[in-house]
Amino acid sequence: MIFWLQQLANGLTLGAMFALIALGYTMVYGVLKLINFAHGDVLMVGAFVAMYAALWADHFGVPPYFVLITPIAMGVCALVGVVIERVAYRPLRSAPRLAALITAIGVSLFLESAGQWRLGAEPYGFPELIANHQLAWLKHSTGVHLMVCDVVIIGSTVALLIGLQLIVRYTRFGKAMRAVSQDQAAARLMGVAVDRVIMGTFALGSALAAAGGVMWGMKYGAIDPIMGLEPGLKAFVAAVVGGIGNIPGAMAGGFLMGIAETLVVGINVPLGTLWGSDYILKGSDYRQALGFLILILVLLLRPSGLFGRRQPDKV
Amino acid sequence: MPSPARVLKAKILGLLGLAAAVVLLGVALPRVLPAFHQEPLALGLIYVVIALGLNIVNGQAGQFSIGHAAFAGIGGYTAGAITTAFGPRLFEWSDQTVSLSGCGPTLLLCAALLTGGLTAGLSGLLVGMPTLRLRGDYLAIATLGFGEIVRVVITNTPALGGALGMHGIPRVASFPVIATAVVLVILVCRNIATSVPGRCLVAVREDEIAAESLGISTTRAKVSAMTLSAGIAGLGGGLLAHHLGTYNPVDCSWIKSVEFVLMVVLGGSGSITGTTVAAVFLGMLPGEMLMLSQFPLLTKVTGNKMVLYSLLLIVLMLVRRQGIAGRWELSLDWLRGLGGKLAALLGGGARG
Amino acid sequence: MIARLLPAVAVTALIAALVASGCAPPPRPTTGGATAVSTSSAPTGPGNAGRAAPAAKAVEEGTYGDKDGIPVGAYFGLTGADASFGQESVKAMAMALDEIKASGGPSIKLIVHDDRCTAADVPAVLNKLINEDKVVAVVGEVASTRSLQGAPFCQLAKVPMISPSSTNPAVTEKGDYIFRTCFIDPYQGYVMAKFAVDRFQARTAAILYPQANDYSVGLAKFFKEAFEKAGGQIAAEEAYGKDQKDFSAELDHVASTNPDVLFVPCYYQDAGTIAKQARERGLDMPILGGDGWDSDTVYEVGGDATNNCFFSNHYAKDDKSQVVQDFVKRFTDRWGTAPTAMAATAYDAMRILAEAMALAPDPADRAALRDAIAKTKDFKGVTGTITINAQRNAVKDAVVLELKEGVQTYVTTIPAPDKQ
Repeated sequence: MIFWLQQLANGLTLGAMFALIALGYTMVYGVLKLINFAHGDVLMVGAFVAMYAALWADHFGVPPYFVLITPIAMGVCALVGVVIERVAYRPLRSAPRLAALITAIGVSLFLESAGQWRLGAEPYGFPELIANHQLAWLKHSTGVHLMVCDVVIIGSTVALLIGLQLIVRYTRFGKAMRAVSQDQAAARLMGVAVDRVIMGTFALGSALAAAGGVMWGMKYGAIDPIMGLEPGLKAFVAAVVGGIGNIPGAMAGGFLMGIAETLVVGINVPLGTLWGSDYILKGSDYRQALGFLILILVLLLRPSGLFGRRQPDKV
Repeated sequence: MPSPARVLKAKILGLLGLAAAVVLLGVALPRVLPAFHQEPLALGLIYVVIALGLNIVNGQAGQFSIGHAAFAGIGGYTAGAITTAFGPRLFEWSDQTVSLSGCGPTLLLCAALLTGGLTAGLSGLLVGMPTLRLRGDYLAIATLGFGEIVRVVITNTPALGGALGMHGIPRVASFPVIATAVVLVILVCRNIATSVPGRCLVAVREDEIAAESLGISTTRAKVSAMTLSAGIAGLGGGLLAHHLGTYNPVDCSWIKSVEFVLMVVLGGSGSITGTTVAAVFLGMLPGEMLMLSQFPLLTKVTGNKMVLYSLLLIVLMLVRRQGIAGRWELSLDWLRGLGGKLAALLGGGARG
Repeated sequence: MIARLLPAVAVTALIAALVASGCAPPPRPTTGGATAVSTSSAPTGPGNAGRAAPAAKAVEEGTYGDKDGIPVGAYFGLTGADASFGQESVKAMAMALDEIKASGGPSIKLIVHDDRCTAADVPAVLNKLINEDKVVAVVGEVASTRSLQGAPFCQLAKVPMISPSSTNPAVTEKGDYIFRTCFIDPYQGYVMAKFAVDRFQARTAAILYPQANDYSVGLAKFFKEAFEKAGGQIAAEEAYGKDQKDFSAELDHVASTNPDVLFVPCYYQDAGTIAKQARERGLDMPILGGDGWDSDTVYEVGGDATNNCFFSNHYAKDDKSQVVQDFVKRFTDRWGTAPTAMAATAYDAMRILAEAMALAPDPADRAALRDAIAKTKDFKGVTGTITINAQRNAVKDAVVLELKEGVQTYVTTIPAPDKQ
């Protein structure tokens, strides 16, 4: 019983971070119908900005609290997202989709390789942003191991998700965003400043990714220039699973992916006690491929995702 | 309609031309070229094969696959497995063998390469069948995922060498072998491009819905393109395995695939000539750049090739989406036209 | 209006940020405490230029030593994933060159190329060294994966290759032109197994290793064999994937089996993270590792979690012998940081090669050089007394080091068994 609770706890933490990143993918896809490959690397930029911000803060005697550093990282990455959109995607608005896709891949690879070139490929220690320790009372009462940072991660993710939903549902900008997602040309006719909306969407999505990056650094203590690749791809799968373009779907997809990944590896333990630890397929070996297996399954069985609607091709 | 005699004459000339190309590329060139440049050139030519395979899907069919390094990997591992299994037993091959001595060994190599290509083609079929029904973006992600799955499976299979990769493959793919393969693949690609199925592919690329309404089964065309393309990439992979003597699962990842995508995009999506030139250029570049180590400043800039490649991709998309050659192909007509212009220039010069 | 200005402002801000991050911000942080930012005086990796105040100088590709000397090639990973190893090796070799010249040894032109820690780049680099620079011998690599990639090339071209620190046994099996001047993994696995049993009376052990690294896979296997041979039992054996950062599942499983020791034969990049996550879960038993742990990054990332961690290595910085202390002092004076084991082994490798070149009748003759290297016996190196045996491996002792607040402290020496 404890085992399953533990897996749930681990999975929720991981899923929270995936959800944050998946939102960025889904929002951009909604307005631009473009898979922003570079999104995972925005996460990496966020983590590094947070690290340097914490260092500078400490240098000037300001304690690098989580609530101080995260908004800084989010702000900088919002800017980064806007720049990427302006430089790489906007000129290709009228070009065939393939061109924008290639550019997206180019931007992603550029961020990774430039990061490795300037910062080295080795991990950096991520500074402590909160006083982190195990929740002893939880361990004693239920046997579940959870750290303070896990709670902070889940808590702030929920807060950010609620904030996003509020923006999308109850503000004019959110309405404009939904309009552009539905039909860009009509929205423009209705007087929506489409370019500004797209810019804002990128800014919002990148800010969320940055938050995800800070949390990633907090949880694992180490960051490096290619850290964004794996979570980025997994979050993309999460967005597809939830129905790409669908915001609640991305949230659900993120948590599902996190739990699925944790379970696949965690299942080793009960299986091991059943079959002995020498059985051929070890879950942890294949955890990387899991995301893609899920993706291919979803694409085969239900391409519109869990919450999406089938979009027929209009001529 | 030309007379049968003329057709026969054209065919014989064509075959002679091909044979001449193979001899030139495979025998004469290595003899003339200094030792250091041979390795990068061999690599460049092998990459031509893989890039041409990718060109069928990305260029001619207008789809987007970033999993071709994985298809090449499947071909390479399969071919390598065959030669390492049978080579030592039949012909006393070892990982130090570098030349094909006679009919038997040549047949073994051909069998291995063909099997590699077939296996890769089969996996292309498996990947293409379910995913080509979907929109282009999804194919990209599916092929990316496929590449990663292949990489992870190989890394976790000790029988294939695991993370170490496959080692000890006899390095028998020397220049004559590579040259033959390149010439054959170019021939096949050209024939496809000028054939009916090839034109169907182009129709699918230009406007899928219109093609469908004209009676072309778009899914079938795309899947066939994918299968053939993967098969050719697998052949290239087999060549690579038998040239380097090893194959590493890391070379099956999507980042390696992007290198091939760059070759196709840079050369001109759909252009065989463009892709060939770009593949040779980009394949030789890293090896040749080592020569620049005398100029430390240059190596600092060019040292990290992925930075350059990614920037190149972005710039290409922004500035010249169709690549350098676009859809242009080198052809006899163009050469004749060029010859005519030159003659006119010279003749006009002589007169005036 | 604002919208039009925004991109320009954004780009300017980004450029400013890039510049700011490049010009001397405070040193890299270590973990431990909400506001802890302590000076880590030995940053690793090449991207350090202009970062921390006492920055380690980085070496680059190029030609070292005598421009007119006998050409010797070197291929290491100077930039990339485990660049720390390559950097240390080349620094030590550069230092050795000067000393060889000063003491009247052969005149050597060392041509160093960077393979970027990528096995796929090794053939091109070797092609340049062998076919263009026409080197008489090659020194390299550190990582077993890359040595295994390069060895067949050197063997085919009949160019002697000396690996200073690749420990996977298959490297020297590639041919009679391939040598190494360090111990091999079967021995290293035995060392840590013996240490676990002798020091901690360990009956059960758990192993956590990266699947994607040949060195780790091999070392895990040899540790398991040696530990079971000594009567122990492997409680859990977990493999993790490339770039994996989250070890919760694996560590939870390990915790459930309650082993006496945890063996983690990974490279330094993961060691700190694993130690940290293990301690967070209450896994307080000794964590053991191999020579891949040798880097300050481990403490930088793991902090106090790395106390009670032990790893086998080729030499100990705090070894009291004169030879070692001299070497440490000279290296620190020249390069600003204390030498790691990779530096020490590369230093010895370079000197062994130089001695072989002096002994060979014609140092430019690769075959004669190969024979001279094979005859190396009782060479007094910084990493101990080295003899090259019939399998072209080095017969020498290993040391075990403990991490105490990030300082590598010598614990004991495990002597080499008679046969390897």
